[in-house]
Amino acid sequence: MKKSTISGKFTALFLCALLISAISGFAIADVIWEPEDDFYMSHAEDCEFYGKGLYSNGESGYLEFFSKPEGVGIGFAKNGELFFSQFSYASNDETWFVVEFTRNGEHIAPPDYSGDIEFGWVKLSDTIEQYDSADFLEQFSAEISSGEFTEDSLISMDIIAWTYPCSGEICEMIPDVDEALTFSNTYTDAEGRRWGHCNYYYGHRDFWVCLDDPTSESIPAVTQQELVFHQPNAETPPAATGNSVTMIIIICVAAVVILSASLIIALHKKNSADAQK
Amino acid sequence: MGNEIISSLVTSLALTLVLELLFALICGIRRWREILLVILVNVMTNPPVVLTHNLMRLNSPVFITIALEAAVVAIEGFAYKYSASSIKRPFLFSFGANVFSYLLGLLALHIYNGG
Repeated sequence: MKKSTISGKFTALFLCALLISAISGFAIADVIWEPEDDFYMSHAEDCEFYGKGLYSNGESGYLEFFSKPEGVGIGFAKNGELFFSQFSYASNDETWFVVEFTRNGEHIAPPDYSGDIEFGWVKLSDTIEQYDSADFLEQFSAEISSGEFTEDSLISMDIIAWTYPCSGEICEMIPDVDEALTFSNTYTDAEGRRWGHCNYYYGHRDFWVCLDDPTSESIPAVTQQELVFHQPNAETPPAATGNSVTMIIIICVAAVVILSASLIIALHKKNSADAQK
Repeated sequence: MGNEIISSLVTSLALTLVLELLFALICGIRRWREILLVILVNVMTNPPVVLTHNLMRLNSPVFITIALEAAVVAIEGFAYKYSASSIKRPFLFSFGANVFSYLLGLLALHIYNGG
């Protein structure tokens, strides 16, 4: 076959493949933040929004992170650390969460956004879900009054937004609020302080305000969640899951590479021998 | 977990072989020894690359992917150069075959994922 024909066919094939791939590769950005995790991106439709904190609580005293649900172990975090997950995935009898983290020496730690952020998956059974506003609303539903209202006394104030009444955990300080701040639930704590729950205010979501003391940052906390973590049996984490199987696969692939390379060399020698005849 | 890696290796190799053999046939390669060579070089190079991506959790940076693919093109090019006398431009053929299979593989994955 003539060189020009091969070259022409090759060029045409290359351009077609490039064009088809370019067309199929366009994606429209979504406004929802999504983790840059390959498993999540290929299984996004099977994942559900979660949006809660998770305390690490593995039985060994360490929480194991995985490359993907039922994947290879990629490291451990000490129990008691608080992570946050936006999405969950159900696999067989286990629920998995995709989590951001940072490597801190030998261990995995909650994300430090000044450094490298990685993604991993953890099992629900190895965590304790953080108590949050949704849990508070459910637990104290009998004591919470529903109904939309505004609180004119808060206008122009710099208010403190809390995760839930008497949590001891401040979400943020919201400056110079206006009449758009609307509450949908009311709760009165044991000390008689009124609290208002706001679902959304100019990008601020799901927070509580102490209506009787909206600027105080020192409202005492009342413990709603007793956290008891598994203690580690050893100073170092156990062996990562799946590494023995992975090692076997690596050995098999190496064997295939060596075998095929040997056959290529044998083919080369055969061709050389035939060429000399 | 091991089953998923093995499935990934087998699927990728099968798809690569089909696409690169198709490319070779389109480029006029007909001798059985050279067809066999195409099969062997891909059996030699494809599994290590796929396994590397799996072990790096498929989150490997772009430059890693480019480096791996460049190494594959070079290795396959040398194999064609020294073992396939009828392939006059072995490195160009290797580059073309790998780009062809990579891009069409990407398209196939996109279609499979319902894109």
